[in-house]
Amino acid sequence: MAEQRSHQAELAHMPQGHAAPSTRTYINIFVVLFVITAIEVLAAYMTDIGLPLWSEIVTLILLSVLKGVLVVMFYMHLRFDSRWFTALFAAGFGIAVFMVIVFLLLWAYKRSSGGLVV
Amino acid sequence: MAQAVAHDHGEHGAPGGHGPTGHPPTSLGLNNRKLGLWTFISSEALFFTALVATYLVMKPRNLALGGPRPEDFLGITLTAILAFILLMSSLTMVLAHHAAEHNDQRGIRLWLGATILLGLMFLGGQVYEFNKLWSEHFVTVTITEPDGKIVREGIAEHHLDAELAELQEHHPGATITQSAPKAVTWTTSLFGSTFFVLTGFHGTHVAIGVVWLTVVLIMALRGAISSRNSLTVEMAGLYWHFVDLVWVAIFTLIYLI
Amino acid sequence: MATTAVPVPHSGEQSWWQTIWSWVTTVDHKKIGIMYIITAIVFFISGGLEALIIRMQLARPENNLISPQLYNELFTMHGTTMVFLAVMPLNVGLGNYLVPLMIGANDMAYPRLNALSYWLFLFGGFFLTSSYALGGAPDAGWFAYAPLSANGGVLPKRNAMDFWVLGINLLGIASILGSINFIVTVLNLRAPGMKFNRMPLFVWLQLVTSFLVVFAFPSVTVATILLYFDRNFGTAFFLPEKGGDPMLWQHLFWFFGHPEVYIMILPPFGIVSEIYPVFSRKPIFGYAFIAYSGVAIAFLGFTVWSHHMFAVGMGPWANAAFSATSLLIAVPTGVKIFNWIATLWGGSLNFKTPLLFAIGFLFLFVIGGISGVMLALPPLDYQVTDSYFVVAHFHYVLFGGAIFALFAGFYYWWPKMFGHMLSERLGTWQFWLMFIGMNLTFMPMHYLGMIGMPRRVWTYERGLGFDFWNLVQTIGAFMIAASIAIFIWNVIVSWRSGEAANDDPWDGHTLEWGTTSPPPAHNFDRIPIIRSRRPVWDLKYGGRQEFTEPRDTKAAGSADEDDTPHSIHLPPPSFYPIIVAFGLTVAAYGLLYIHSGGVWGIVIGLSIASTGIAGLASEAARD
Ligand SMILES: [Cu+2]
Repeated sequence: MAEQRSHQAELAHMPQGHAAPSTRTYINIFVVLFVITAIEVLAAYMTDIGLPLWSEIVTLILLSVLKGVLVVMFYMHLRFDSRWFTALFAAGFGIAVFMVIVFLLLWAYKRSSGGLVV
Repeated sequence: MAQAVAHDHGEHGAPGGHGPTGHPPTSLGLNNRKLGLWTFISSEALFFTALVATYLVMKPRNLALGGPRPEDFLGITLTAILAFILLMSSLTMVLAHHAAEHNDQRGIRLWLGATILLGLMFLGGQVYEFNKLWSEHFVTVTITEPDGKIVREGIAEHHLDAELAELQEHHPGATITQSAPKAVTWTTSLFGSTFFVLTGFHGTHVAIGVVWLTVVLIMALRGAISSRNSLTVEMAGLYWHFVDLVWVAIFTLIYLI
Repeated sequence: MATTAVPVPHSGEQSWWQTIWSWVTTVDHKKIGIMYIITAIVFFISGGLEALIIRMQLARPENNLISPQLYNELFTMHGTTMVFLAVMPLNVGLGNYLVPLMIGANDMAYPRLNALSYWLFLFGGFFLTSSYALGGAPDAGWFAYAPLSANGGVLPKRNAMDFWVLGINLLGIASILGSINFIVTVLNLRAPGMKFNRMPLFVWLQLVTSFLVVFAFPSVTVATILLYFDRNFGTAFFLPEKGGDPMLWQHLFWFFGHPEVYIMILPPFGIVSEIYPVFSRKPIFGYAFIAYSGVAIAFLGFTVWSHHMFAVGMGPWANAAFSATSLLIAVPTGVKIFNWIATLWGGSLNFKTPLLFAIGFLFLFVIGGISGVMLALPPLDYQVTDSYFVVAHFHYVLFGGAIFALFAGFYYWWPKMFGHMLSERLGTWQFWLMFIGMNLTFMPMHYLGMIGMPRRVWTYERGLGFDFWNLVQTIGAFMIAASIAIFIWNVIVSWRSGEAANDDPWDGHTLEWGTTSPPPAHNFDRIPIIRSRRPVWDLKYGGRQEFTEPRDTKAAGSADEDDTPHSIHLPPPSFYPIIVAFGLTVAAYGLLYIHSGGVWGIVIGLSIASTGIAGLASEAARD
């Protein structure tokens, strides 16, 4: 018990508890996010210079995933917080990605098989 | 899954400021409210997923039916600015939280105020965009090939003349008819329906976030926010970052692709 | 800091309105659990009456007892009521009462949110049912297939399906908030030493169910919102004549709808997993298998939804894929069944009513499971889809499964909740009548479906071979009704003169049997330090006996490694939950009449709700 109390006192002095990032880090992350967004806007013109559509889609999705990961890890503190929060978010996100992929596959299949096209 | 439960208390002992207020330590050593908020956020993620999936599966159907082409109407410049505004607001938000943890009263108020302002700017941009879309028009062109095959295309009114000439060239001998111009609203095409509902619900979430942050700002102005209850700021922040996160997805999946 | 001493209400000293007020403002998980159960039983009876009218209409061929329109309304409301207003809230009610007790907590993590969930459920159920009086009940089936549901049902310009859409959303908010509460409670409020692998299986399965709700409900929320827009604002998400896609409704609905089946059946799995070991006087066989197969079912449950749509023309590859995942999910389910049988095997069985119902559950659920495996095969599904075979299947799962297990749970935990036993004699009568009636009602449906009787038909022609068995089924349905009447009678009789229950009438082993019957407001004075999966057996039969300090003293002394002293911390009663729920319900009525001044309802409703939310927030800030 005594140990626990002293630990809490310690926490009161050092509010972030863990190695929470500094203002500097937050600003750096913002700069990176800004740059990625700029690259994304440029990447949206990949097909216009003759690159295949799939390469544009893959590039854009990878870049946005990178952005999302940065926001979640640093701004939402998952990198410094309990693994439980990460697990909770990952479970929802996993089901979400699965849902979108299966929906796209189902409708692509529907179109390709000509059954219920349009 | 099955790790020891009771040993963790000291480890994570309620850094959200609840230690001193006398709440009993929790089994995981995590703050109840924060745990609940994260659960809520994953539920919300699936809400937006269902809307995004709806947009994506309806997109080809919209085109095949002669609905408007998204790229004719969704300007990248405005959206890029909106994306920038929300990213910026995430930065100010996290700085507000940082300030709260360090009991920097001026910082809390400054950065909360900035976040609210940026949120309002985003909402203003969205209103502007909705308004602009609502006043634009598209025309559904029906091309009947000599062999009876029918193709439909939705063409923005401002492209119509150029596109019609091109279509005549590509489909020699086909009869081409065009519908009366239709406004781009949420009832005139599947693109409109899915787009306005998705971005509208996102905007609603931004608005709720602005209200939440305003409440926190009022508390801060009364001096009711300090490092002891920085969780109040952190909670609003988590929600706010999540809304930004949804925009990261919308920006890419709807505007850029 | 509100470590308010909550006065334990003594009914004798209270005027009647004080009693009502104490229930309206309660944030005690036990009272809320009881309110959930009572309300859900009322809705269960109303859903049962709807079923009886349906069975009376079908008792003989070419019958004209009720109109086809009313028939449509009845089967829609029967399904909706039983799913959202009976089985789900019965599960939530038992969970509410028991989960905090079983993990050694004083209350749920968010007591006021808990009350809000209950009031939203009550008002949502009232909202749905009020449709009968306000122009007719929903009539497009409980899964509300578009475009039928989008066009306003069979008769144009009715707002019946808007009742359904908005009611589902009120109930959905209640369910999501309730589930977040369960998740945080189970993860965060366990007693010292109550590791995950020592939690009762009922708690495990309630936890899994809560995750299912949190992840599955958003999909139906989106589906119903889009349907509402189609119906009221001229969008065309699901209207094929305007370019929409009815398949989208089906996918969004069943992405929720299949997990919903597990939301209804996993807590009953948990109930029987508590009852088998106690009544066979053996530890549960394969504890970890039951717990983890529950998690497996939850994840797999998100991959099978399209097995409800084999016949709509998704194509052979899609059908094959969803058939495969559906067959796969039978594996973790089968694992559980073998574990339960192995628990009973060789035990010294104590055939009290809870065990009777739990064994009835096992028997009937297996039948429903097997017909489920059959339906997972597209070629067979093509033959019997939308026939009575399907009706037979899900009634074996949900009536034979969920309802039997829930009655097992009532008989098992009634003494804990109310301090007296239910009559064994009446219970045995109820069981046999219900068991026989249930099989008479639903077993012939397999056959009728096979020979081609479609579901959801108002009547059938004479001489198609349907006549005899339909009459039998109607008789069976009345036997079920009689068995429910016996239960109600049992409740009343035992209330007046039931044998008083001691704290541990069944020689139980989970923590709720370690407190009084009924438990005090704060549940436990002292919590044993949990050393095993059977803490109360440890106490009775000489495991190590250690307690935390009495909970009303502040932490001091005894540096046991697992020791985490709590001070009693119960929030004061609150009037705000019912205000918020009321405001949201008013807003729902506003949305219902959106084209005739309903906007004011929305504004007023949301203002009321906001006031309530502000009140809740200020209360939360104080404790
Ligand atoms: Cu299913």
